Amino acid sequence: MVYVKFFGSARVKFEKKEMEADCSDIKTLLQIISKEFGVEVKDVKQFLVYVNEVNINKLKMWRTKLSDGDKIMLLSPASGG
Amino acid sequence: MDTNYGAYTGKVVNIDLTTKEITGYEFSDKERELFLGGKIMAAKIVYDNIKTKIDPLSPENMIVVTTCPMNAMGSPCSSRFNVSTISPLTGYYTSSNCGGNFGLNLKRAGYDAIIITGKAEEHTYISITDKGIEFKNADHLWGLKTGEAQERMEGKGGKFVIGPAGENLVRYACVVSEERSAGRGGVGAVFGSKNLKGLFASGLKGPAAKNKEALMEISKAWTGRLRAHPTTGVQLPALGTAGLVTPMHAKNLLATNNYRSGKYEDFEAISGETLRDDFLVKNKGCVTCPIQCGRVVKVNGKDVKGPEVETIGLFGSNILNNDLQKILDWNNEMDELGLDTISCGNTLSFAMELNEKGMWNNGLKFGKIDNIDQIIDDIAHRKGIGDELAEGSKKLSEKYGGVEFAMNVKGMELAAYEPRGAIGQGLGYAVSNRGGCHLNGGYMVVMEGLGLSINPYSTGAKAGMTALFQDLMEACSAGGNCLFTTYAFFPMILLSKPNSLITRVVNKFATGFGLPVRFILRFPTLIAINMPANMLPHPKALSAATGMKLNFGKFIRIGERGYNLERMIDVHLGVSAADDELPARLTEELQIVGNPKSKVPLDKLKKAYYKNRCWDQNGIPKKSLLKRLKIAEE
Repeated sequence: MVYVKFFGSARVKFEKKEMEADCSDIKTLLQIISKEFGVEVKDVKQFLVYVNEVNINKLKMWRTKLSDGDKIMLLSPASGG
Repeated sequence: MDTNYGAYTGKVVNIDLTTKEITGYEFSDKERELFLGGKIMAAKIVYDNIKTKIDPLSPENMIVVTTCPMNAMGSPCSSRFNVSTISPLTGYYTSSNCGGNFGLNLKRAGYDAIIITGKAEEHTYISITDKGIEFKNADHLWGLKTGEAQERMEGKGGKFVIGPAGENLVRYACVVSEERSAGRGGVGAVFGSKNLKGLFASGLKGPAAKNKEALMEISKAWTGRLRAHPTTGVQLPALGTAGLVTPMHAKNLLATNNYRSGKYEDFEAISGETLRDDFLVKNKGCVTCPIQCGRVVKVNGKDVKGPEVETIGLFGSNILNNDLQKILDWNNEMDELGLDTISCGNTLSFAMELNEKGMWNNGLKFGKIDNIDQIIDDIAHRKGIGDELAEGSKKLSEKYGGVEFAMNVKGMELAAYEPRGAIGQGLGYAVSNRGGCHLNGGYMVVMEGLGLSINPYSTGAKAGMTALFQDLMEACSAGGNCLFTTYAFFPMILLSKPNSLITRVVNKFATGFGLPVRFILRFPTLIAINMPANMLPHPKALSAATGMKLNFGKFIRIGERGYNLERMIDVHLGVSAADDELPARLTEELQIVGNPKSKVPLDKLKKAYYKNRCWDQNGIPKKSLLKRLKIAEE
């Protein structure tokens, strides 16, 4: 089981704080999220994705493997203030 | 006085509080072309009048309140006005920008700018209307907080007042219009030193735009783009600037424990998401703003303005406080007392570390919040240790030591961005004209993690980008638009699709753009185009409003002129490369153990920055540059 938290525009879009998912990679996780909220996978791919506080850009992007207990964050694509 | 340009009133006056004389001040159309308005117009006036070091709290200091050409023109986010002076916090030039309605009213009253000099004998406020200017007794307002002072100041129009902090010469006191502050640099203390409680302005009709129809068309498209943009159309309206707390934590940028870390384990408790879910009553913005990034929250049952990200960082993570309701309470109280929340919070965290290290026994501790209410009040009234805290972190470090962790530059406390997670932002803080300011520093965090994600530890192109963004924001401010309108400068795809191939390529290779950026900086006027797809509508809008012929290149050059003019004021006041420094914590201590790049390589960045700026090794603009910018040195 991995733990997903929604922040920024992901929180606004899905109106949900967090969820749990049973999956072993990011690609599958995004499919689960897309199904859960009735959106296309490409819409989920617009968010920044962090695994245990590391951006998947520094890992293997969508092929990044997940392990039990991993903490995933979905963040706004960009922020400003 | 008069002007042939649209969008200006053509009138600037000097108001002498000592003699109560009001005289016209010559500001020609040629000067309008060169210095545009707002903070650059103010810089020109200060530059021409203050040539040597002065005591900022003496009658010799001047307050210059300037409107901008875009004010009252009906464009989006165009209510920003400016106040400039010599800062009692830094001893150098400061300009502070405010979104309250005072600027619009000042312009409608018939003034491009007012210059306030001298010192009133009695508590005074100045009434500026289209009927004339009057000195009014302010005994009944003295001692009042900013909200009540505005309520009790006579007349219907724009008000701009100090609270007890300004009256008591707290070096980081601000000035407030509606609920918006001209926050930084201690302008409120300069008001207080002149016995000036505030300003009132009112008028029925401002100047017209030169080409009203063209301006309306540009403004309509501009508003549409701001609403469609992921940052100004989604993120900021939904979460306010507080929405930055989470990405700042994720990217090691959230000042924590007096800048000993860029991450705060309880970040969620103080995040923009929690503010939205648990505290938000509604959005609110400055007049003329389609973004509406302001938050309305409840404090003691009353609807008040919520905190910005800087306040949340400095009164949250940086003092290890996870109680967001208390931050809302303190934010409101500081607005009422007229205190800059950034300098106040940062000074408190410094005092906490002094206490922790046994260097000053003051009762302040990280994570201990039960005495903060009282301390804030004591600072504003200069009671007990509040009297010392009212001096700011630099003066405290001179007395108690700890200069290496007194988080200020030139005496102005840093904002909540921890620059070891974005070294370009570190450079910006160091060289910023007004001191440790994230915005005047160029706001490189938006390139290094919050908007784009270029390598935050690379020095490549950072010096040039810092200068370019400083110039861009300088010109934007002078025109009168909120800096948030510059987000549209970034192609939408780069901000809306961070995982796309094109965005990743830009992020990877942007640090190699040093030469092109340097070319733009050196020859901006060769870029005699307007940016496509309304990326940067400011020059076109300003052209339609004023009748000047502006384009991207000329706009950047105006910004460059302004930035260098401000630097020259500081040079006259004694600034040099030795002042463009960061506290040693940021340049010598690693933010992340095991990551040798997680500190700011300031010497290298500074050298490159001076080269990009055409400044000499001591940080002084070269004569050839001043000549090119038409800044005359006697």
